[in-house]
Amino acid sequence: MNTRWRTAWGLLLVLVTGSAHAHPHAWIDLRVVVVFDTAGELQALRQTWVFDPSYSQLLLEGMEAARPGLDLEPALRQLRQRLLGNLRDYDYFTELRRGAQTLAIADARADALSWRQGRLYLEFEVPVPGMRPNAEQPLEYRVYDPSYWIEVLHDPDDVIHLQGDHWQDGRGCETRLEPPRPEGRLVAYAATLNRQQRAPMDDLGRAFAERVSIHCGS
Amino acid sequence: MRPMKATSTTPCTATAVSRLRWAGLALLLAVWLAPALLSANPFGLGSGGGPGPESSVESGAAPDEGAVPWTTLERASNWILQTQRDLHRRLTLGLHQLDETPTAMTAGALILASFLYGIFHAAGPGHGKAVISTYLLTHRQSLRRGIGLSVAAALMQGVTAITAVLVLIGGFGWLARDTIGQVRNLELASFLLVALLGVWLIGRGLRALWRLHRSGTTPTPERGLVLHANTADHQGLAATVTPGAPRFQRLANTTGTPGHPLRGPAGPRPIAAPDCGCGTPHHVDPNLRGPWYATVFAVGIRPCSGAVLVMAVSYLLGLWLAGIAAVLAMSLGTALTVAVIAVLAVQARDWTRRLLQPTGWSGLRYAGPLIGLVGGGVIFFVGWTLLQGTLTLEPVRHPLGL
Repeated sequence: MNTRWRTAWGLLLVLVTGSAHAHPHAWIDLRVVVVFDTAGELQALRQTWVFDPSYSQLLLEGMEAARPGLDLEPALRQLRQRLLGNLRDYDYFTELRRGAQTLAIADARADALSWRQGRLYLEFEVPVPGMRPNAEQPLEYRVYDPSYWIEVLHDPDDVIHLQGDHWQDGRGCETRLEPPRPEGRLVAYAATLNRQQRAPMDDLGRAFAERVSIHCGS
Repeated sequence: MRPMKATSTTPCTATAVSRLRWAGLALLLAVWLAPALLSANPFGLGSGGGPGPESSVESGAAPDEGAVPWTTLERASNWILQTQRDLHRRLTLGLHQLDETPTAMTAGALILASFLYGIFHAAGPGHGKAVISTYLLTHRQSLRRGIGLSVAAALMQGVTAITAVLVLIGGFGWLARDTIGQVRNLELASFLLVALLGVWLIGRGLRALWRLHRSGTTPTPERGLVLHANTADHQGLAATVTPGAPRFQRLANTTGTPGHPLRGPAGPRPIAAPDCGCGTPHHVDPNLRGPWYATVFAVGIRPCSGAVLVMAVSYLLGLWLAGIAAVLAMSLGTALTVAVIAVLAVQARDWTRRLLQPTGWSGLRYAGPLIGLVGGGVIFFVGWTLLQGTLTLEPVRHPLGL
């Protein structure tokens, strides 16, 4: 079967079996700080996930949450441990690549969870093996929910910060964000997924993820 | 769609109805396009993150000049994604803005966002629309009943969402996140009912074919009259076709109001006049209410998950009244979109019928029940596939716990 037939068949299946109100159902505004050490080597990606207000509300529900004046600390601590514990198995939704090589994701550190203006802020740092990526072998990262249940996009009101990159004269580092370009077929496919389905297709979310590459001058 | 011609050829379509069709269709299409126009407006929330060919890159990086240009299809799907994202955020943020500052302004914004969300999201593929359009394509219904079908099904979906949340969270004190998970059971029920509806329609088609076959084997010189030679009065039909008269008479009496088998449910005026040439012998009253209600129920019992989410969160925030209003607005938006599809389906069927009718092909009288049979088969297939898919696919817990 050639691609055109496959697409047509896919669209037909979608029309027959699809259901509206599909993925994604929640969103995370992602803020990233790229951390360098004093030698100019990349050390970590510090991420802040800002959950959407409804999702934040639902996560804190049943923990005497979200009302002013209450001590949220115990609830937040418990929730933070649960979230990060579960996310460990999913590499914190983070993919790191250098060239063609996928890097292993180590345990996150410096984690915190806070409640501000009706939204949950989850912060943690993903360690990166020390390196200074160049133009030939840039470091790339994607942060996405593989099931595409939650859409993770960089916060439009924020920029990717480079912390501790003191190099000057064209030797500093740059980041480039590429928007996702999902195929029409995948957009339609995502639209067929029911609320309860967890994307039987592996890594659906990757097609909808932003790709950021970091490279430094030498 | 040729309503003007229809008025001249078939007296069953009144001019008023045809004018209504055009006006309705234009209005629906205009409303359909509204979210797109609104999402392009600069006062929109614009929180979509703006992935797109023109979106600026962050950290002062240079734009990717060597990138492959976007294809039309990519642009189109990107536009759909953007609009969906924008409406979803508008809806979610609207709810929380109402929580912070409960004014008429924020309430209105929430209702509007829900309405647009309903319109746009229903424009995507969906099993409810597949069932409704298949049913309308393969079973003769008047335009008004077709629209009524889609509106009733959409409104029932909203009411199911409201009821589920009020009973489970409000009544039984469930957690909202557990309630959202329970939508699966209602989904299963809906898919099962859709499959059963398909079986029923298949049965009806088979029965009609069998009767046709039996009456066809009886030597009747006026056989053509079984079809539409008599266009003056439906009741006259039985009288004209003397040999088959007892059976037709009996059927007419069992399927409709005695004496007025084709009268619509609401008004005193027949919605589809009996003389509409439909290629279907009037053995089974095509405007029978049973399948209509069954379709509404089978589709409507599955609440739209967006509606459940909005309702659950509004309940958590103590805004359940606003939640109900938002969900109803969303259902109205959905109803508008599905009504457009219903109109198209009914028109397509009418058009095909009018195209084929003058051929006088004798096999045509089998076409109605046969098409109904196929429609039943498709509806069964849809319900069965979804049921299978949902049953085999165990819900996996999301790592973040919702």
